[in-house]
Amino acid sequence: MEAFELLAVGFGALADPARLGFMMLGVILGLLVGVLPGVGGTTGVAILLPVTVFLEPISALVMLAGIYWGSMYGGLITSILFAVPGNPWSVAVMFDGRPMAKQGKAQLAMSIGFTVSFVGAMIASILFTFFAVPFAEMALKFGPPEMFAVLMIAFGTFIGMGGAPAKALIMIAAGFLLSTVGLDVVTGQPRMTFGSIDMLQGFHFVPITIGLFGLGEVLNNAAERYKVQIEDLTKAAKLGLHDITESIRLIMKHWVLALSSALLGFITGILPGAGATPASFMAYGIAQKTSKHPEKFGHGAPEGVLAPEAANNAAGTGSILPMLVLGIPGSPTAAILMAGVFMWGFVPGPRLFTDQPEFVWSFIASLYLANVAAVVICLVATPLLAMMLRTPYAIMTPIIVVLCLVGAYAIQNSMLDVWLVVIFGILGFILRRLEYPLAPLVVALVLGAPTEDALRQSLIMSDGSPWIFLERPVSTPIAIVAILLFLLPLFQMLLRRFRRGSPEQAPGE
Amino acid sequence: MKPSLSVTLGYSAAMAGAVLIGTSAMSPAQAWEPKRPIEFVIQTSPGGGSDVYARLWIGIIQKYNLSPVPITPVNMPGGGGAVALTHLKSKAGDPHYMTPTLNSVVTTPLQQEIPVMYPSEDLTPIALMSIDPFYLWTNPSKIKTWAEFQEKCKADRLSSTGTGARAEDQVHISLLQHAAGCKDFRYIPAKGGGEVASNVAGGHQDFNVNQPAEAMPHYPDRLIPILGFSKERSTAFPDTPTHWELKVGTDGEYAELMDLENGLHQMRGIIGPPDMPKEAVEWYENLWKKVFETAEWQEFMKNNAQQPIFKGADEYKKWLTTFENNHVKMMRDVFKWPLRSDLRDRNGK
Repeated sequence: MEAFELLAVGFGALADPARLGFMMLGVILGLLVGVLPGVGGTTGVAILLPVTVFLEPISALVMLAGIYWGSMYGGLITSILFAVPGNPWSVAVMFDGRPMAKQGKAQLAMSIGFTVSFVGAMIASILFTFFAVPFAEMALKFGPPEMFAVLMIAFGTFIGMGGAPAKALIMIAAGFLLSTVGLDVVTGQPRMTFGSIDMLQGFHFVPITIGLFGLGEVLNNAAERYKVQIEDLTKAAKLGLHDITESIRLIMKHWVLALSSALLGFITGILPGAGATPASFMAYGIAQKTSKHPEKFGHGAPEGVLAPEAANNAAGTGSILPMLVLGIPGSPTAAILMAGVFMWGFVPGPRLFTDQPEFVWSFIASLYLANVAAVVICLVATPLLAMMLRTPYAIMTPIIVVLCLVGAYAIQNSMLDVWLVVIFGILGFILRRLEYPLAPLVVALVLGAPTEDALRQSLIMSDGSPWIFLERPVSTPIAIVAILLFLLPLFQMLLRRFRRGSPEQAPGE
Repeated sequence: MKPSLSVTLGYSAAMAGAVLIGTSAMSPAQAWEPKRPIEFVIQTSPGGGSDVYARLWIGIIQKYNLSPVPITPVNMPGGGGAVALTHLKSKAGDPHYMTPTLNSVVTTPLQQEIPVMYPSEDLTPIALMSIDPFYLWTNPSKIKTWAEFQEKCKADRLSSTGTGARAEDQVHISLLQHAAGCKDFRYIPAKGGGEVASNVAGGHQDFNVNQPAEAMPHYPDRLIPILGFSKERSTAFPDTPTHWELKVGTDGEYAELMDLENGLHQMRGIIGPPDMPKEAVEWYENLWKKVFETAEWQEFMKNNAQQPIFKGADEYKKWLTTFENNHVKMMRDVFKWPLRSDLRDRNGK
C-alpha cells in the first residue's frame, strides 16, 4: 500500500539523530509544560515557534509536534493528584481521577490515563495515516447547523449526570450565564461587561475551572483537616509494575469503551472548532450512560478516567488533520503549528501531501515515535509523581495555590483571570459544602459559547427558521440523535413507572 | 516582478525625513537603545492572526541579532484588541512596548469605549511592514466569475462569512455590497479565518472576503479568488481581475473608500505606546526596516501574496489617519453602525 511506503519515508526522515533529538526534546518539554495548569501545550509551542526561523523545517516541525504530543499526557497528572486541570481537556478526567487518588489509587488512575492516552493516540494515528483526506472531506460537510447538532449531543450525554436535578440545572444556568460575558461574536457588542475593559475578554473557562476545582479543593482539604492526606499516605505506598499491569487489564476489559471513545475523540477532533475538550466531556458522558454502574461515576470509577483520556488524545491527534489538509486549525495548538507551516513557506492543503511528502510523512511518523516516547516516560515517572501526594499538605498546598494563580495569569496575561481563580475558589468551596455539582457548570461554560455561536450562525443562515437543523442531510440524523438523547430520561422514567406498575418487579436502582 | 517601486519610494521618503531631522540631533539619536526586554503585546491568542507575524519577526530579529535586548511576546487577546490597546496606552512614554497591527486596531477603538480612539493620534505608529490584500473567494462549484457573482447577488441574498462581527471582514463585505449594488448579504460571523474558509469551501456559505493565506489550502478545487481588491493584479493570481479593472465601486460615491491607497487589505504594521521619545521611534524604525529587508520576510510576503510595502513612522501615521477617517465614513455614514458615543470628530468629518 502506498501509505506504508510513504510512512517509511517519514520514518526514514526521522532516522536522522538530530531530528530524533529535537523530537525527544519536544516531548520532554511538552510533558513539563503540560503539567503546569493553564500553561499547557499551546503556550509551550508558541514560545518555541520562533525557532522555526533557525532550524530546518523537519527538525523544527517534529520538535513543535513533540511538545504538542507530550503536553497531551502531562495534563492529567495535576488533574488526578490535586484536582487542578493542567489543560482544558483534562477537566473530565478529574471527575473520577481525583476520587481515585483520594482512595489511594492515584498511581492506578495515572497509569490508566497514560496507557489509554497512548491507545487513543495510536488509534487516531492509524486513522490519520490511512484516511487523512477522506476524513478531512467529511469535516468540510460540517457547517454551523451540523456543529450545533453535535454540541447538542454533547449536552445530551450529560443529562441526568450526578447531583440533585434542580441543583444541576442551577449550575448549568450559571455556566451559560458566565459564558455570555464579553464581546458578542455575532453583534460585536459587549455583553454584561458593565463598562469594564478587562471584562471584554470574557470569562475564560480555565481560570474558573482552576478556581472551582483546584483552589476549591485546597480549601476543602483545609476544612477537612488533612483527613485526605492521611488516607493517601497509608494507601499510596506500593511501588512497582502492579498498577501498569492492572491498568492494561482494565483497558482490555473495557476495550469497547476505549475504542469507541478514541473514535469519538478522533472525529470530534477533526470537526472545525470542536476539539479535545468537548470530546473528553462527551466520552465521559457516554461512558456513564452506557455503564452498568452509572452511580459509581464521580466516586472513582476507572472508566471515568479511561474514556475521556482515550478521547482527548485521539482528538488532539485528530485536530491536526484538518490543519494539515484543510488549513483549519482544530485547536489553538494546531493553529500555532499551522503558523509554523506557513513560516517554512509551505501551504497546508491536499497538495502539501504530494508536494512535500517528506515533510508531511515525517510529521505523521513523529506521531508514532513521540507517543511511544511519551507513554514510556510517563509510566516510568508515575510512582515518582504519586509520591508528590506524600508531601505534607503544609508544603504542597502553597505550591498548588501558586501554580493555580501563575497558571491562570499565563493564559492571557490578565490579572482578571487571577481574580477569577480566587473568587471561584471560594465559590467552589461554598458550593461543595452545599452539595451543588460543579461539573455541569464547567460543561455549560466550556460548551456554552460555541453552542450559542453555532445556533445563532445557523439561524442567520436560515433567516430565523429552526427547521434548518432538520433540513440538511448531515445535520438531520445528528439532530435526531440529540433529540432522542434529551428524551431518554423521560423514556426511562416512563419505563420505570410502567415496571413499577407490574407486581413482581421492583425498580432496579 | 514585485511592485518594489513603492517600497523604494516609501523607504527613501522615510529616510530623507529621518536624515533631515537627524542631522541636527545626531548624537542623541545614536544614543537611544532599549534598556530592558521589549514587550511585544499581541492582540490575539497564540496562533491567531497577528500572533504569527509577531513570532516570525521575533525569530528574524533573533537570527540576525538586530536587537540588543530580547523581545518577549505577550498575548493579550480579548475584546478584539481592546485589552491590548488599553495596555499599550497605559505605557505612555515608555518605548519598551509594541503591538503588531491588524485592521482591528482601527475598527475596535471606533466602537468600544476604550482609552484609545484613533491609534494614529493616541498611540505611536512605527512602521508598516506589508499590505495583505483581500480577495473575494467563492466555491467554484457555485460561482465561478465576478459577472456570475454580480448577477446572483442582485437576484438573491447571498450568504457571506468572516472573522468576528463589525471587524475588517464585515467592513469589506458591507462595502462590497454597497459598491456592487447587491441585495443585503447575510453575514455569518465566525471565530477564525480557517473556519471562514472551510465554511465557503464546504458550500455552507456563498462567499467570503479574505487574505490568501487562509484560503490557499482549498485553492483551486474548492475556493477561487474571483476578484482582487487592489490596483494591480497579483503575481500569485494573474488570472484574477481586480476591482480597479472591473470598476467595482471605483467611480461612484464609494471610490475613495474602495481605494484606501492600495485597495482593501489587512495592514501588517507595528504601533508603540503614546509619547515615545523621537530617538526611540527612530531606533525602532531602523530595526523594522532591517527586518523588512531580510530574506525571510521578503520570502514570507511573496509566499502569501502580500504587497511588500514599507512605511516609516511619519508616513505610516499619515496613511493610518486616512485609513481611520475612511473607516469612520464607512462604518458610521454608509453602514449606519453605531460607533462609540464619545467619538471625537476630526477635520469636520
